Amino acid sequence: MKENLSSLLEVRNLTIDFHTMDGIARAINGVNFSLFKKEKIGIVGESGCGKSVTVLGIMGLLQKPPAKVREGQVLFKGRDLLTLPEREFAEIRGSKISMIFQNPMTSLNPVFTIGNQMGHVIRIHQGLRKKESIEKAIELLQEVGIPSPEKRIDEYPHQLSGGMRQRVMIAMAISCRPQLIIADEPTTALDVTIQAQIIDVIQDIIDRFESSLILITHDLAVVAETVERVLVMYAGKIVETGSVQELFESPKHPYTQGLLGWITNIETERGKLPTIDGMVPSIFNLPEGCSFSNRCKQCIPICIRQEPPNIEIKPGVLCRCWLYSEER
Amino acid sequence: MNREILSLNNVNRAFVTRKSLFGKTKLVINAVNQVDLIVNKGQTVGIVGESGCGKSTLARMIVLLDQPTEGSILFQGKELSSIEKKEMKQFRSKVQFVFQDPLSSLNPRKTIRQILETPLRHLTDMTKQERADRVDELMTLVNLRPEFLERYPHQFSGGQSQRIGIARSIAANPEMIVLDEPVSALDVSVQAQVLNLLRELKERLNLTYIFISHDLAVVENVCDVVAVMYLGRIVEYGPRKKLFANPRHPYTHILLSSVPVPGKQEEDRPGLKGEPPSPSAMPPGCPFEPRCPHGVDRCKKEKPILDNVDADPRAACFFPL
Repeated sequence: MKENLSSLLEVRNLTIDFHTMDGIARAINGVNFSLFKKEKIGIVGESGCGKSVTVLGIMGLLQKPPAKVREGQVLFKGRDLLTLPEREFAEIRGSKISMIFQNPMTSLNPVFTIGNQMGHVIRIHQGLRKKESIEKAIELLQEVGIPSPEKRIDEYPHQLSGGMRQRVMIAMAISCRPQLIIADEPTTALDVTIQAQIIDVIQDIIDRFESSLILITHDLAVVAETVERVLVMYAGKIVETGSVQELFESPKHPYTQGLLGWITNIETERGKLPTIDGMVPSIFNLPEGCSFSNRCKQCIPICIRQEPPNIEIKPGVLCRCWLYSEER
Repeated sequence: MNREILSLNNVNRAFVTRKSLFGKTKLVINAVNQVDLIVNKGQTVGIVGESGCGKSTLARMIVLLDQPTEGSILFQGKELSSIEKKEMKQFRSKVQFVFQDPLSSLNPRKTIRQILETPLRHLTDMTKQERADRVDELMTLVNLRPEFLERYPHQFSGGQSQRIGIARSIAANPEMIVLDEPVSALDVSVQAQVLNLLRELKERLNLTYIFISHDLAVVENVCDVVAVMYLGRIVEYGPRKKLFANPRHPYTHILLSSVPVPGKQEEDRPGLKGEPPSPSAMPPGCPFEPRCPHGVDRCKKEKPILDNVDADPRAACFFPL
């Protein structure tokens, strides 16, 4: 089924370093994935695993320096975004690809009204006049389910609740009908009942606009409900890729198994919870072999010596672990 | 051994603000409203609710960082508002607090040894040597290496910092600890480590916990008794198992079903429309009525209270499920 869909975004071997006072930190290391039209994928992982750096790298929003793209390509409809001049990139950013950020309070400007900020984006990308842009903004607010948008448009971000602000962010992100929407932890700052509403809004928008979605989250349950395919990241690498169903039914990588063990156990059992011992290795000093080896319960000698290859276990299911290799 | 350690009777906390900079219009926000709660020794009582429902205000009153505007809080039979300054030390040594953000609750200019020694110096009569021994012991209790003692808070990860926060709270051998969202700021794999530690300490030191969280999965895992708060009121209260299996208040029901579960489709989720009303303009009837799928006329006029003691769990609703 996937074959006759053309890929919208292809990330090839993306490696990003941060040059800091303490040395070079490799935030992401050889990230490869592709996204098809109308596809929804999720990137999950714990804080510091590189999921935000990956998408900020795609969007060209990393501050350079300290960040430096060491290697790799980001092909959006065949064009490499990383080599585009900033002016051309700016045209794509916000109109073809747009982003919803985690904290709606800090990503909206507190001194401008909602209408002012939304109108700005619309005017820049669509060349509308001021009055038209405000009308368009009202229309967009209606689409994301904000009651009485013509009143809200003159309000400031602090007058809105967290859920409303996130709706405004979504409205802004979809103002140019982007082909790709990147949502970076869109529901993390919200309460559960509001989280459910926002997930519904995002789902609805993606389906209606026939866009693609990259959803970044640390919450596996949110991913399960929203996307079709999941990438699991650990210490700057994608360690497992697979469909949502596959991942939840039979996780392959020991790290994914550990994460899921916690989710399923916290609901059913009392008593001691299964944990992943130890801590994520420092990205300033990654181990030579598998970066999960120091916490892995199934670690074998080769894991410490050599980095595991990305093994295709079955079509569409990739896992970076020696346990599935015949060479071990 | 069902000994009562803490009881709250009709506790209210109202905040009075002014509407405009020069204006005189007074705005009263009832952050906590008619809360009754009894905590028995050795229990873990969970308080759940969404942001702004008053759970943190309640926690602050229990540890005397704030005073109720009405009602009384009794700790071991003693009225908290009657505690005098010189008895304060004794109270503080019995009741401790663990904060949500592990990093901002540790003084960045002090070493871990200094941080852990502070409660010992103020709340106990230990000698210098005894304090040093106790600090070492605390580090082992929370599974941290004693050589970390000379380091500063910024050198630790979130999970480690929270362990230090917990070590500090148990330093002076308290009887009860109020935990305000102790794992919310941590990653999932670290959350499990901290929750296991809390459980272990509770058994070993015979503690009573008041566990505040918005995360239902965590509450279900650690608590014996759960109170669900909505807009400053306890809307449902009961033993964990029964409350999670058969919630009787519509709010609890929707709250539980809003949590995404892998494999469950969104169609079978009732969902909740709208947002909680502002606590300054509370509806005259049931505070949940504007969002409730079952609301009728009576709910608009009268405020329901928690029903009688026999019901299990108890719900503040005229038409419990």
